[in-house]
Amino acid sequence: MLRYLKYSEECNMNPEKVLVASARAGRLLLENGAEIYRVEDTIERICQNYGGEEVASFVTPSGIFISFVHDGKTFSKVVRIKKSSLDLERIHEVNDLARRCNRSYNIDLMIEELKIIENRTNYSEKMKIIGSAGVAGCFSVFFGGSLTELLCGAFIGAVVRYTLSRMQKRNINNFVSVIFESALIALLSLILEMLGITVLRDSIVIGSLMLLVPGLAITNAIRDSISGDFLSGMTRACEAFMTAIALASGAGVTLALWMHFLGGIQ
Amino acid sequence: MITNVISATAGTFFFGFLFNIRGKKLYVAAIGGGVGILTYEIIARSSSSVLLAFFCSAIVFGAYSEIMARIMHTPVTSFAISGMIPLVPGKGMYMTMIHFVEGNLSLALDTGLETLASAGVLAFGIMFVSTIAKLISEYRKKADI
Repeated sequence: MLRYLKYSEECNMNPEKVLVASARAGRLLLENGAEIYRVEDTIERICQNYGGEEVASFVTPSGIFISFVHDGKTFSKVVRIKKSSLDLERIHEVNDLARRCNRSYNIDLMIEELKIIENRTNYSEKMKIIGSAGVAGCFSVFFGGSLTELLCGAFIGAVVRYTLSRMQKRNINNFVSVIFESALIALLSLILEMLGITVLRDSIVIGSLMLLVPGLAITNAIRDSISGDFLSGMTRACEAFMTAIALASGAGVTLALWMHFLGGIQ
Repeated sequence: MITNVISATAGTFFFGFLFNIRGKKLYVAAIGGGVGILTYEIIARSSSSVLLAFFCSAIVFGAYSEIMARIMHTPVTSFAISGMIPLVPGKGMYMTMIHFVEGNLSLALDTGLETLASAGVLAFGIMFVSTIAKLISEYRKKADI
């Protein structure tokens, strides 16, 4: 038994595999919206666990650098992060896995598990459309609407989610898609108002715009700044601010154009 | 007030679909959104200061998400991101934009500054709570050793 354990531990300290596992865990965390210190902490935990010395990791929102020493040799890896999504369940699972692993936890098994986490499907597109219809509807009520506004908001939310996922598939720049979506929201609610379905245009617009609020960027900007990662904190604060500007300008330009050509905004 | 709390809770619940929060955590996150708004409404009604209401609600909802994250063994972000959404001063941002569009610059600057201050106070409240949470967990680690 002891011999087997020793064998498996030696097997586990394969520097290449440790690099692969820690880089994949870090990438999964960062892509899905974890804070910087959590990514660095997880990478260091995995490398140290499998016997790396002088472990160092440097993480920015767009790249990960890992390096450690083993048997007098230095091993390092750079990962470039290009896409970003938001999937809190994945963060939870990777975090869980990294805390669970110990010296005898098979590294191949860990790489496999990370692959499974990466390929796991999240809520289906239909559920996401329902979700965003619910968000827009509920927040329309929150900002002073009634049942009519709930239904109008839900309709707009569903349309927004549908077009947004179409745009994401074509890799359209985030700011451009936010400007487009907020213009769409303003336009749809103006049309609904013109048709006489609703009189509370404001609450529908604000409620639907909540869908595009950069909640992740705001939260991470705050949390990264507290833990001392000002580079990432400032980047994310900037992202949040730019998204807010894009939101306001998309809706504002639409409202201004409508007012200019068709008049009649009270 | 009751309508606001219920709609904020339901809205946060639906946000969970977009952020891919699953199982029990989805309900906990939704209640977090409701707790924040409940605090905001209570304070905003009993005092004249909107900023105070934002600060208190940030503290209450921040404490709620830190505690629940420890209980459910999950990263704080799961609750912090979705719970903060209802507190974002969306109405202030919208009114600022409307005043700009109408060409009413002084009113726009007025609302804009107030919105910026609310957002800042909100961020400060969240910072305050998570700094204290960090202090407590570091203290506990030391006590263990």
